[in-house]
Amino acid sequence: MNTGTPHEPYRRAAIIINPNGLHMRPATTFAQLAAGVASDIIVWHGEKRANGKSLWDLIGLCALRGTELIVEADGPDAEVVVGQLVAILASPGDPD
Amino acid sequence: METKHGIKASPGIAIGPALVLDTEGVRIPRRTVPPEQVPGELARLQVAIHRATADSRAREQEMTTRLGKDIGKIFASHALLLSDQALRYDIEMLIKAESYSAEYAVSRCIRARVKGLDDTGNEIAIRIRADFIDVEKQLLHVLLGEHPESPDALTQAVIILAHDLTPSETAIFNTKTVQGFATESGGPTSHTAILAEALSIPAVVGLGKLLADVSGGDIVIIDGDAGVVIIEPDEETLARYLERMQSKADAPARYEELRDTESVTKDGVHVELLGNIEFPTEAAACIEKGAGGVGLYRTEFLYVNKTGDPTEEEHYAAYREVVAILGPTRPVIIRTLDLGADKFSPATRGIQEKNPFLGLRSVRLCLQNRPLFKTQLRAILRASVFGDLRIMFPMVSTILELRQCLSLLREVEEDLHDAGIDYKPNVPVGTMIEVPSAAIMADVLAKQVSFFSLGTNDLVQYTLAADRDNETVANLYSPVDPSVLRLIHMVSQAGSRQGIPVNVCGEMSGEPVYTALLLGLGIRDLSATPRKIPEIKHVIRSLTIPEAERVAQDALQMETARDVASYLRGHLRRFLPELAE
Repeated sequence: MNTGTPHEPYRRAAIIINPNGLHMRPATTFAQLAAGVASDIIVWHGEKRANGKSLWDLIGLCALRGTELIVEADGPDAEVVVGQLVAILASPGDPD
Repeated sequence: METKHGIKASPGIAIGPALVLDTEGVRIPRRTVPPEQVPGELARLQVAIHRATADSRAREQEMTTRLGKDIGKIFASHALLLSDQALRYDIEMLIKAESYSAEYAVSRCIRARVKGLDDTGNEIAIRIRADFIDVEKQLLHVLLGEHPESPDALTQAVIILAHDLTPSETAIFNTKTVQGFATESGGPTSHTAILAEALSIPAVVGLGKLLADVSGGDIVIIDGDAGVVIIEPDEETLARYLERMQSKADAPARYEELRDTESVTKDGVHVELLGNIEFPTEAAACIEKGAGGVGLYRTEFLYVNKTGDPTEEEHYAAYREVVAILGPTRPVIIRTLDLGADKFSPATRGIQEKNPFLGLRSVRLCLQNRPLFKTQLRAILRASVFGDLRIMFPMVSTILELRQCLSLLREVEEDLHDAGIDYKPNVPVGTMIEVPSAAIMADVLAKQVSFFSLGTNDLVQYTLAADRDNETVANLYSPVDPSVLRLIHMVSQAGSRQGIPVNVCGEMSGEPVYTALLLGLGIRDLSATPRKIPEIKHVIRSLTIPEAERVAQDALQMETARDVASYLRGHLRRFLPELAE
């Protein structure tokens, strides 16, 4: 915007390995974390996109085990946040 | 008499008169409104969302206090959904575009999403269906000014029968009056089923057409152990179930008496019986259930869902808390970090591994992140001053790894010594045996440590190369596969030749059906989830070592897991029939 380098969103892929897919529990953990960060969060499942701060959207992705999702963050904390969010998606069990 | 077969949702037996709940009947009086009323509908929606969210938050608090964080989280999800901006946007669009009433728009919007998920036919749909319907009903109840039909005010014991029950409907059951429930739809993994188990209400779901065959007041038996519902049982069936209920009811009281008795076999051999815990708050349960100490203190809770790695002081506080509860003499075995790289640390988060279970996890990860590992070891050594703490390394697969762990521990001791910080030297150190390579090399590893702990869950998974959560291969996963029995036997013998104890801390040690086998294989240390300890102590006190050895010898001769499992069940049935269910 102002000083040279254009703003680039961070993107990272994650494969769902939780045997139950992206169900209520991990999606809740994801949405809660995403809702608390400054960056905008988008989760892509192929062409389908979900607002990462929305549990409604995330469940609607219907991401089963083995699905590859792309997490995209745009904002000042994007780099850190993407890593944390991907870790939730790539967790083999239910978080916490 | 009519017997219906459904899906087991929550174990136990309940008998009582039926109360048929109409949980489907939310009638929506108006589908559309005149265009000038659209702003009014939007305002009603906003108020309803606000109130329903507040109700869910209150329920989250209440259920967290009553049944713990896991159950509370179900309602945290509901609150999050209710206040979801995207959901609200979708509903508002329907009101604006179609002049729908707020309640019709809510119903249309949520039902369309449920249908979309149902059409995929996958397991996510089955799991979340009840939650979405729950959220819909909560909004409709507020919008229509109705109160959900609540069996809360009942004075008489009943069995609830319904088409379906949402988690919220189940949560408000008074467990004094609601003895059990059965539903026509629903699956075993839904939040409703999970709640039923947490509330200790026997339940069967997925029965198909049921309500048409029952009238209120009919006597109904819910057999949550078998997934069966019996309507108007004949006398013989009723008598049989009453007897089973009675013997189940007597069991806990009988085991309570065992709390202060020694864990010793009939022929006088002491068996160390310890508890597995995940959080410091569970330590009290070990003592309450009569455990001799903590045989497995998992420490992953310190790492997950954190933005940074835990500090030394956080570790120290968590260990001190448990030592304070267990006292200075009961042993507490702390397992160092046992997680995959993908799961926690900011330093390694997002490492993509094709096969995480064969990847950088547990001690492998710790050895590549020494500061992280040293922080934990320092805290354990400092906390050891106050009690009998012991250290256990998970997922060691070679002697070199074990040596590295031990030399790192010595470095930490030296650092503490040089800094003049109080710590206990020579804390007993053990290694987990959960990788087949470690089991095979147990005689070599035994020379380096003070004890072994067999993590049977992982040992089974790695020995048979089968993930038990993968339903297509789960049939291969059995803790009594002959290959696993031979490994346990080898490790037990290696330990006894070296004179070090071998503990079993997997789920196997909490199942009464395996106790005789494990003792017969030479195991004298068991660590199980605290609630299982009284039962296991009962089995130990009923056995003699020669009998256990006979069981183990027989089992070691068998060629398939199925043969061993059925042999062990048969033995338990003859020997302690009340535990053989």
